[in-house]
Amino acid sequence: MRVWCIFLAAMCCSLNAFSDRIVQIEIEIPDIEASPYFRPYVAIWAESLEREPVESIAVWYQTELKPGPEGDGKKWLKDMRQWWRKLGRESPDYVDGVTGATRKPGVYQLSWQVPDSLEGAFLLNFEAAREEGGRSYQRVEVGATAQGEVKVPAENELGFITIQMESAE
Amino acid sequence: MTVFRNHFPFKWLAFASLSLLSTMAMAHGRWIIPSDTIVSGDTPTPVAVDFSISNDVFHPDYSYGGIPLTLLSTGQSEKRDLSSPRAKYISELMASTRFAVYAPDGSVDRSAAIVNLGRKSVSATALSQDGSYRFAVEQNPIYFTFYTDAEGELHREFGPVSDVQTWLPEGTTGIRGMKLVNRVESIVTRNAVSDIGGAASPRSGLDVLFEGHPNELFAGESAQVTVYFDGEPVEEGVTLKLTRGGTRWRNDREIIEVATNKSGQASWTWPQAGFYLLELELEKDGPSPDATKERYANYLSLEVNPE
Repeated sequence: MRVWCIFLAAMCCSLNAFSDRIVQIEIEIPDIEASPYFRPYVAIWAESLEREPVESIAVWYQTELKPGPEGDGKKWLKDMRQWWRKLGRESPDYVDGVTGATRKPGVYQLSWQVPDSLEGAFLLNFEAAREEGGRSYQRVEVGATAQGEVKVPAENELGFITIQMESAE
Repeated sequence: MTVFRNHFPFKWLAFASLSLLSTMAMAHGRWIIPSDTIVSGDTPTPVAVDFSISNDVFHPDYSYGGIPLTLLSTGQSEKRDLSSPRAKYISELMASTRFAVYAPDGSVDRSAAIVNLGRKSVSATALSQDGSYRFAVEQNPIYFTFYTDAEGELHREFGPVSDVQTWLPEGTTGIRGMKLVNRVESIVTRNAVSDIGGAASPRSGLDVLFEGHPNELFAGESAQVTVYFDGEPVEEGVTLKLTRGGTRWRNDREIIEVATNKSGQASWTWPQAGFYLLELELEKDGPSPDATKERYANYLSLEVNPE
């Protein structure tokens, strides 16, 4: 019986080299000198190579309820325009576990379990938009190999990004 | 000296939202855009205007002033809760909004109706004279009261100190007042240009005068202005910020910033055609307890023609 289990596990691994993959993401929110400075809205999500949306990995926006028409800041989610088109407008992703308040400048770590359905290479998307500031968008292909590291240089509203593919094997 | 900076669109925090944060929250762009800045011909020509407060330049977000469309459509006005001092103050402020037309003969007309469309307010006038008109959105000055609460947190409230302090909680410290004077304007000329609104000299408060005429602007050409306060050229460096409309469709706002020299002058070259929003601010010490600081902010919409 025990031998069977090991055998089956080995079978699974050999059949699907892309199971149990984890993406470690390190992302910097740049310290931008601006007056007034508002923390950016940030969305990180995965897509297939055909740009079919997979799921949101993180959505940071103003979750705090404020008086007046501003409310809880959801009215500006659409300003993360790529994310809004791909996932935001269609799915309730932005109210489940992946959302959080805006972050102050600094370096943040995230990890994401790649769904087994997503085999081989796929796309990671990063979008940041800041009030009285700008918008930046990066799309990175990762996952062609089970392990590896991709570094994305900083650009305006997005600081440096490091993506580390890890396999549980 | 022209400096391009990486700044872009956005507006999470509107004037009307009254989030208690920094004084700079008031610096969100206000603007008025006329349907034309140059008209020709001998018959009175209607010119329509849109005005709004927004972060994306010339993309309306928050209307201010005017008769609500629902009132015109249904004859019913929306019930508003004006029980709080803040709501009452803002309501009065909005009700003071006028579309003012300064004609080439020096007359001023504030009688045009304004319609509030929720995201922008609109009005119109007809140009019956030849020469240069000044279009302005005018409001009462806005008073703010800043204070620190018992927990040490800084707050900003609408209204003059003399009103606000009557209902502030106990333990409040550091109460101080500020007065904000906005000029939201554009310039429109029928046939030959003239002194704008019939006046050649700078007005009291913060004013900008062009060398040449602001209805004769072309891409590739330079602009030179002098910034005045109470009729005198400003001595300190005042920053002029120029943003071309359409920030919504570019990730980089492509802002031009220029500072005045010791004679209050500044110059730049128009990089391309379009409507530009010229913004500048000046802070002064104020004489009254309601306004120990006075902040003057000008927003001037300028149309630049292709070469």
